[in-house]
Amino acid sequence: MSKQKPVVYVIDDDAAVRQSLEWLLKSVGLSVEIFPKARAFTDRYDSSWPGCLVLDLRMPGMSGLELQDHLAAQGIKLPIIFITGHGEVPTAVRAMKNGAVDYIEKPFSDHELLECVQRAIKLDAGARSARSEQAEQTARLERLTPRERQVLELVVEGLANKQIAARLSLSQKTVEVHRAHVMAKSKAHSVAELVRTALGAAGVGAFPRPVANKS
Amino acid sequence: MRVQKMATTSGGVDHSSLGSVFPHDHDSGRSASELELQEARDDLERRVAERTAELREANRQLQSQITVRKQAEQALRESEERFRRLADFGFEGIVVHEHGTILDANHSLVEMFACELGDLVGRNLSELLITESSEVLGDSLESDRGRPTALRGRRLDGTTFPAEIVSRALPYGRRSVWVTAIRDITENRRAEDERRRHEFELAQTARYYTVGEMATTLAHELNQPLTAITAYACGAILRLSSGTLTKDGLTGALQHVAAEALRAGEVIRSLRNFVRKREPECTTVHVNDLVREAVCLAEAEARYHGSSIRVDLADELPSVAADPIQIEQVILNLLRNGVEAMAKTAADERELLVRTARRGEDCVEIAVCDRGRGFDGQESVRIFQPFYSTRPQGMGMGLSISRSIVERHGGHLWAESQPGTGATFRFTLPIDGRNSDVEAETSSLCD
Repeated sequence: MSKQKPVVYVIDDDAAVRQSLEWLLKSVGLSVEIFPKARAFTDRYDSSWPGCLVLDLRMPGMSGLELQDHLAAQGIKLPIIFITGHGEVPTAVRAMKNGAVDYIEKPFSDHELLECVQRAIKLDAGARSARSEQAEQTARLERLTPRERQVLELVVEGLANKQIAARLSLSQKTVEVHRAHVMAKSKAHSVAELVRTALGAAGVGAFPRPVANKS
Repeated sequence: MRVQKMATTSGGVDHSSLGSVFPHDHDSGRSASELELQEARDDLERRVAERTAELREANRQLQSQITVRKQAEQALRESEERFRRLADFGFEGIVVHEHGTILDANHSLVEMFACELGDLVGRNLSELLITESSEVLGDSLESDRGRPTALRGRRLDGTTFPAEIVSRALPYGRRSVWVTAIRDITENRRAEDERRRHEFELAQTARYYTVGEMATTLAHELNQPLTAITAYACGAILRLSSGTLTKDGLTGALQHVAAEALRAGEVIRSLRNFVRKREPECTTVHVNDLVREAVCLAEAEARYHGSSIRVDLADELPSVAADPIQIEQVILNLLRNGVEAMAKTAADERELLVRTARRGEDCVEIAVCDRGRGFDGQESVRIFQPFYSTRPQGMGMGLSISRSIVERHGGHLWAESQPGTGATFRFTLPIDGRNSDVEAETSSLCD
């Protein structure tokens, strides 16, 4: 995955607001693209582009919340910061529950916005790298043969080669060969790394699930 | 020959004595002439009798005619007396005149002008009735139009009062005699003024209420320019401290700051102007300006509901004579209704269109078109009634007040709609200088 510079995407139907935010964000060296409405953004945006979204809540046409739903439905995980001139608690709650990074009321200080934006960009970068790592890990494991897969699962469970051989009705030597292949294809240098790879491919990431203990 | 004296009765002739006068033994010559005489006398008597009878008859007829005439005269006198009473004590003053000179007047008129009949007879009506011009007065005194003319009456002591007059010809041989009824409408005017005042105050209250309903969204509308101002100012400071601030950049930022501050000021100014406590006024008004003001106030709410407002204003629209705030109130009411009607319309289609145009020779028309749910014929009547509202907290007065404002200005307000396809509300206002048709009917705002 190429490392692109993150871009802050700003959507607000008020021209003065979006232009002033562009000026402000560029003042700290951020790249910015502005849009007058949600459709203009969805027509242009590609989910591989990193960054975050600064979005007005109430707009003619597709509203901010509607865009949030739309992106979620498309599986686009770009972090969203809502800005609004209408402070409404129920809407705020809904926005946050649906996964927004934050919700800021206009007028806000530059500090508030910039802090949020930096946080969102970091979140996005982290999520992207996690996703790409997961993809990489999945790809590695996909190179395994079905038999190698079986061996991998038993290794991850913590079984010794001898037990694996017994379980799979193979000779221990065969198991050792499979195991070596598994380590090589997974690019793992230790069982711990192998386990991490397997978990990562399974989408567990940084929050390990307790592994079921079969013995 | 002896002629015996004839016994004279009233027309009778004693025939018996005639025989002794004309004895048979006289010679036949004398008998013949005597017979002739006799016949002549008979004839004369007969004629006298006839004539007398005729005279008697003629006399009798004459007597009877005299009686009839006397009766007719009596009936006429009585009839005149009745009409005199009617005329004298009717509510309206009645004056009979010829070429403007007063011939007679009834009791009510004399009272109306606070004088005696003798003070009026012989005077010219132009001393008592004030109009714009003598043509107008002449026309109203000597034409059978049937429609009253409004003018002022002037009493002999100089005081004046508002009046209405209507005239009719009174055929009187060859003479050009007219009768004019004059009504003192001071009380009517007062009641009318009261009603107008009351309506005006109701409209003022409705404006306060409207602003109250819009307060939240308007306040948030101010947040837009404030956000921009903050962003530009802070951005400039950040660039200054990082050494990336250029002269052009700063100039641009500051210009934007100024423009946005003015924009905020506009919203506040529109708002204050809208609720300012004031007297009704009538000035030359450009409808397009009022549309812009109303849109400025309505935009906040529109945005809140995800609607946009588009304007299509005619170039060179003639001006109208009106109270600007009241007309603005009507437009704002229609805009807010339109936005609300589109609450359930598909998000991409929530556009409100405001259009101004000249209509025909003498009107300006303002139309507000929405793409809401529309309504049918029955509802189109109900929506103009007071206390009908589809808003949960609505007062329901908006359209009924709007209509009375428009009609007070001499225009009309109506709605066109088909269920499901939206609605168009239109109202007209007469072009400046052409409300002469209105004044007679109801007292217009711009009297």
